[in-house]
Amino acid sequence: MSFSKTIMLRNYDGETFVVDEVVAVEPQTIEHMIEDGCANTSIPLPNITSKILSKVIEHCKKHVETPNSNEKDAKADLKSFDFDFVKADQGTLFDLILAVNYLNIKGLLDLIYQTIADMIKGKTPEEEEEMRRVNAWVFSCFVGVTCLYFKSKKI
Amino acid sequence: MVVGLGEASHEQDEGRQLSYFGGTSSSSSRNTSPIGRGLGYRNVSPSRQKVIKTKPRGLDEEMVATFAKAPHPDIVVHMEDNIWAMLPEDLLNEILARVPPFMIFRLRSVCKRWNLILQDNGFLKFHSQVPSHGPCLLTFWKNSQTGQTPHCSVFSLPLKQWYKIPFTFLPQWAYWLVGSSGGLVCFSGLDGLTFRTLICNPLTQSWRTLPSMHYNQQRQLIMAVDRKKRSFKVIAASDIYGDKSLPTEVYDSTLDSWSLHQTMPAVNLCSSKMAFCDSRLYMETISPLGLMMYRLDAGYWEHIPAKFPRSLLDGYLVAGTQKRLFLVGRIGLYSNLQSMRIWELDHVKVIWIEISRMPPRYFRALLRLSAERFECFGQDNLICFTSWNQGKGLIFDVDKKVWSWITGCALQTYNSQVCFYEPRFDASMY
Repeated sequence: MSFSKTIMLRNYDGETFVVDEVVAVEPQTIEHMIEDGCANTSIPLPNITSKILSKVIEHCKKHVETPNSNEKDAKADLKSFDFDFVKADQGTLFDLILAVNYLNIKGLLDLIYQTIADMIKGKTPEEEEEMRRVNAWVFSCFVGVTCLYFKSKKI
Repeated sequence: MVVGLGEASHEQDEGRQLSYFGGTSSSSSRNTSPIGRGLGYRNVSPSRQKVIKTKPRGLDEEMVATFAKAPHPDIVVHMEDNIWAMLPEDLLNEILARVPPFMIFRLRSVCKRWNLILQDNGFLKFHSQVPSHGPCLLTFWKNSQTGQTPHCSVFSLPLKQWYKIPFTFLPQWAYWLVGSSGGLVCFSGLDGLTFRTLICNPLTQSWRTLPSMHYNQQRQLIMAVDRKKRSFKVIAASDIYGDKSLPTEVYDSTLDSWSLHQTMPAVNLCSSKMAFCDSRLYMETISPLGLMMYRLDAGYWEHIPAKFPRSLLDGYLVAGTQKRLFLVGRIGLYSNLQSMRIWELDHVKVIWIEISRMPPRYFRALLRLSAERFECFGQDNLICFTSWNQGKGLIFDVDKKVWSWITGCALQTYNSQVCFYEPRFDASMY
């Protein structure tokens, strides 16, 4: 059992994902849990859905499997993978950001932050209607976030 | 003829991409540059022809290469509020940290309630840790046609884009640009008959006046911000005409007061050419050309016996990073071999060492007439040359040894002032 190289992750939907340890420790949160000895049976991730967890695992797997070299091919391959990875609808991106923040995967977190920042940057300034919508979104974050966040927080 | 797409005009919305730089369609009568006249076909080798058919003099591969890549078309993304409303504040800060300051600033101008976010301490504290956006050029001018209303446009070098910043938040004085440091911009001018100095942050649209100096008149001013100490200093050296012997005054924002110090020796020989680096103010004296240094910590002036290059004309002092000091000027005016050169001061040997020379084709493109005036200023090892008549700027990166052009109508106004600027939300009035 101690030589097992796989980790079991059990998520919100009750599904279990079996993942290689080397992939599972990409998220710092899981790495710490393993170090602290909480990973005897399986690691609980109650606030992450299967859809999101499988995406995260996919990303961790890809980055672990790609050799960490300075070769142009490897880098370009990773880049195009990342580019396709964030081509998701906004709902998925939102769930991803919360999950990856909880799991504490720095590289993936940076990628998602940058993606959303680019979405904001890409707005055409002439559309004032558009700007008002964004403004409403941003503003409502600050106004409503305290009560809404603590309500939805399951961590 | 290379034509700009959505060419910038004073009334233009901010953020319009300029993919190619060429003349404006509304060239003033004063503009006699080859761009404005639409210079005809120039002999180019077949390998170059596929790039451009006609090129104004001075525009060549370097210029096209710098700005030729087509910008990404503006992608309209509708951020769905119901999804993003629940994003925690710390994650939102992380995202906003990756959005250029001008974009965040634009959000602000749409709705007044957005002000609250820019003043939110959590946001500001977070943003003070965010790495700098990069060097920008701030241009300031007053449109005499609309009754001296101030205009300000900022060119972001990283984004290669102009952004308009409303300057109506400043009072209605006759002020002009002194300079910028660490996100703050300093202006001085006349409020009626009283000479005043003010500091502002264009991004947060906040400002305040400084108390009057002991000898409160038009003087050579320079401002320096210390971000670590969250304070700034303003040094008033000599009287602007150089005919009065005034003690040097230093404003310290932590004390909110001016202190008197030694009068600069040989004050009648001082020029307006100054540079500040490493807590020292360097000033050029004329007839003969010399260098004076004011030490902020000591409060005294010192003469630096560095010999200036012979037949140097229009020498400008430019501060670089850390202790680097550059001298920029032209040699051999009225000669066919006239050139623009850059020297760096060797502090140990106390001599000027030539580090670079402007390539002749850039020199000819910048200064159409060899005796034409130019302005020169710099920050962080970037040196910018602007030429009034040409309406363009040339930037030299000292470290990378790269020359690149900047154009835009904001540089074409004859009375526009330009300086380097670092956009920061957290540069408060301290």
